[in-house]
Amino acid sequence: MMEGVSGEAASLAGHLALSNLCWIYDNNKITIEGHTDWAFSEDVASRFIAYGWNVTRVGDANDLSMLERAFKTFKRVQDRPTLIIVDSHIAYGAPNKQDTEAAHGEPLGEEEIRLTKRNYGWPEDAQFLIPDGVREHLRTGIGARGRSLREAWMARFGNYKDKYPELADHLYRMQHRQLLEGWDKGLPIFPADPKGLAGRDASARVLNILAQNVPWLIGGSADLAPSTKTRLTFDEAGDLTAESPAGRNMHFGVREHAMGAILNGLSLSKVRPYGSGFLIFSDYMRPAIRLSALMELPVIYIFTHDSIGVGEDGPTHQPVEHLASLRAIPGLVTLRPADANEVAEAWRYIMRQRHEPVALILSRQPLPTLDRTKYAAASGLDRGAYVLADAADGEPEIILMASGSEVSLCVQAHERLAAERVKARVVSVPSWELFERQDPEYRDRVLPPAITARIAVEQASTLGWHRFVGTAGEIIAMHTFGASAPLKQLQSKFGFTPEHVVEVATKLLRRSPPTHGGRRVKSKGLTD
Amino acid sequence: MSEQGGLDQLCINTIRTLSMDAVQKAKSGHPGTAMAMAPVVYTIWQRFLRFDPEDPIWPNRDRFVLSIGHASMLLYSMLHLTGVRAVNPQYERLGELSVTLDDIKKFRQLDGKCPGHPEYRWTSGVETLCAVRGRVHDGGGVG
Repeated sequence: MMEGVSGEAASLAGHLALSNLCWIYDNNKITIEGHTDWAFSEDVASRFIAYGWNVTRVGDANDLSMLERAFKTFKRVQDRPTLIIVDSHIAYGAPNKQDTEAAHGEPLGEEEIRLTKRNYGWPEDAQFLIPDGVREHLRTGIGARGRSLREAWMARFGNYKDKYPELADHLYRMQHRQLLEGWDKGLPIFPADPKGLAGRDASARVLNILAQNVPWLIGGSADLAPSTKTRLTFDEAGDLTAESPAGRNMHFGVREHAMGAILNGLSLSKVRPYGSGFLIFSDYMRPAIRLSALMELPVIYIFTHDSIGVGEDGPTHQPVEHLASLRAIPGLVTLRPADANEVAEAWRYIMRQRHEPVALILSRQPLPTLDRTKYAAASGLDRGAYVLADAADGEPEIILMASGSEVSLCVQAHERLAAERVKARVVSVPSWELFERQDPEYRDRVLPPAITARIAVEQASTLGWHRFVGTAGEIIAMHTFGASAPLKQLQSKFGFTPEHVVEVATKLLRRSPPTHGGRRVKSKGLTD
Repeated sequence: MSEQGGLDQLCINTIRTLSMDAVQKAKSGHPGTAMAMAPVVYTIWQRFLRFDPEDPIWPNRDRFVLSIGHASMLLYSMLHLTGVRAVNPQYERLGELSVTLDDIKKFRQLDGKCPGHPEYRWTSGVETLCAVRGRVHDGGGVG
């Protein structure tokens, strides 16, 4: 009740009039530091009434008839969620520990347990005792009721299946996290285009096609859909409101943390949810992202405005450490595609996942669509990193690696180096996690251990790139926060230009020990 | 104190004492809230929850979310006492119990089915992970 996310979620639940939602507030007036008087005096009931909730109270947690009345009230109220405030006594029945913080996080102790059991009229020395009649009583209550409700529903569903076999099949597949045949039909192949399009725009096109193929792909944004471009724009998509719960465009409001939590809840119900925001705001939903990973839920997080590419909005809106911090979450796959075709491949990868969350990192600014007749196919994305452009003889002396917007920068540098007869390889690295899952042979083929002259380029924190460039490599990345200026000026200021990449490459080759038996020295003409 | 007698009270005190005993045996854990909230959880499950222990993944079930995850023994007690069946990762129902009394005796132990806070996918019948401060899911609730 004190933690902010509960306020975000309660506010939205009230707004959407979620009448199937009931929260029970255990009002025992004890927190870990002691009585709640230390830090909490607000009127919770008034707060929830203001959120538009039905609020009811049970003055004694042991009063079963009062509890029953409260739950009946909840079931009766059809136009708003319900909060039941239950006054309870922590460690009820423990003669020395009831109503104290000592009963929160440690065992009661053998003597206190004995005294408590005596209070309950329980055999004092019995442990893990389940008296006769307990299981049977529950079987006649929840057991019998649950079975008859399920059987009635299954019978109804059987009729539904006869009448609507296709929809019943959809429901089955959704519940088992299986895709429909033809889920990827109509996905675009983007033609080469030096001007290209922004990651967010490519994603918008792909998402809108996928959502028409997969009816349970739903989601929205924390008030940023016009910027993140995640709105479903086809006619029948609709908007989710209290009056139209089937709408597929959700509006979470400016509530990132609640959005993440709700996405987890949606995924637990087996729909396929996505939520979008600016990468800078991933911090606000980080606890929820972590839980997606811990629960192995295939939640799709879409983060746009992924770097200093944000430009004039300045350092407050320019993520730096966020990529590194997302990559630090075990089980979360981060994907930062380099161009529109990698965006399409990223979505293909995402849709096939059943038990893993993904953070899709997209640019605000246009990225050139690479000519895939000249460079390797974008389907290499599946392997996390792949050789995009190479030395003509396949024996490079330096490797340039990058993700997202910096890949085309490396391609430009590669071409300039080629003109200087430097043999460079460009490796597109959309996902560290996927690359690390590949077998060692593949990894060594992409990043041959013998080639130690390596440069990583990314408009984000340097943290972690050393494992790919090694001790002899260089990292062109962000060492500070960004600045407020037009994008081009920022790219120059922070060194994200082909000239700078070429310069760093040249210096690196001068200082690196010769690889491949000294072939580099003779082939290059890089004499001082 | 509470000597109302009757089967309801017997069930509630079973939940309470299982929670106290499991925490004591583990030498760590949170007994107090489980003891306090046992009547509330019992009433929800026994009288209201639309949930079939024989088929804990029936799609139209109510979702019971224990956001006070530290009181996990409440949930493990209910899963055991109501005889909730295990489900495998392929969403197939298995005959065995999700939580046996032996599992409860191994509360908070390595590779047990009753970790300190409820963990989704570790214990069938746990609808979501809910160990974290302030964590709630709008998809959940009873109703």
